[in-house]
Amino acid sequence: MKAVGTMNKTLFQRAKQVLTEVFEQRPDARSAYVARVCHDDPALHAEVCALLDAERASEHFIETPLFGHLRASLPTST
Amino acid sequence: MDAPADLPASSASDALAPAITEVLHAWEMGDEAALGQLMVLVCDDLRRMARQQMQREHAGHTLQPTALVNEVFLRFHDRRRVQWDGREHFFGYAAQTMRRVLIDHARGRNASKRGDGQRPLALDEALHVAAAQNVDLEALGEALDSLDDLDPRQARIVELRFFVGLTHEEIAAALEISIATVKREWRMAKAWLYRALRD
Repeated sequence: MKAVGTMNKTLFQRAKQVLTEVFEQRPDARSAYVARVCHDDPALHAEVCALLDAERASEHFIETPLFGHLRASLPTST
Repeated sequence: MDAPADLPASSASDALAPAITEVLHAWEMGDEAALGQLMVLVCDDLRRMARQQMQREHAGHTLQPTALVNEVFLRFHDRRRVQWDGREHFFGYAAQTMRRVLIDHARGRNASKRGDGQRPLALDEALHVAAAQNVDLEALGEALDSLDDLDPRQARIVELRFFVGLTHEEIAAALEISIATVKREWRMAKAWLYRALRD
C-alpha cells in the first residue's frame, strides 16, 4: 500500500468534492460535467474518472456484513 | 452461534449474565471460539445502542455502553478507564476494535491453516462471508489504514457497516451525521477501496 502524502490528501479531498457534485448529476451528464470541472487539472480528471469506474464496478463489493448473518438476536423495538 | 439462553431479550448483556462471564473467562484463556461468540454479542449490543440513539435523537440522552461492551473493551485494550468523548468517539473506537479482531484472526488463519473436524468458529464464519465476496481481509485492512489517513470518517463507516453490520440509519445515529451523508461516504469509500484492492 502506498504511503499517503500531502499531495495524495489534497487530490483525495478535491476528488471527493467533485464526486459529491457528480453524484448529483444525471448519469448521462456526468462525464461532460467531470470534463468541464477538471479541464485544467489532468491529475484530478484522471482520479475522478478512475473512482467513477471503480464506483460502477463496486456495486456488490463489501455489501454483505461479516457479522450480520451471525446476529444472535435482532433487537426488538424499545 | 449459541447465544446464552438465559439472557433477557431486550438487553443481551447488561447484567453480564454468568454465561457471558464464562465466555469472557474462556476468551482470556485464549479460546478463539469464545472471542467469536463475544464479537457477535458485541455487534448485537452496538446495534441496539445505535437504535436507542435513533429513538433518543432529540432527548439529550447520553450514551450508555452495555456492561459487555465495556468489559470487552477494557480487557481488549487493557485500559482501566475509557472516557468516551461522545457517540462518534465511542462507535469509532468500537468499529476499529471489531475490524482489528477480525483481521488479526484472518492473519492467524492464513499463517496456520487448521485441519477439518474442528468446531466452526464465529470468526471463521465471518471469514467465509468475506471469502464468498472475494474480499481479501488482510488487503482490505491495509487499504482501510490508508483510507483512515485520508478520511477517518469514511473508514469508520466502512467498519460499522461491513464489520459490525449496522444499517445506514444506525450508522447515521452512531456517528451523528445524516443518512444522506452516510450513503454518499459509503459509496465513495467503496469505490476507493475497490480500486485500492485491485491495483
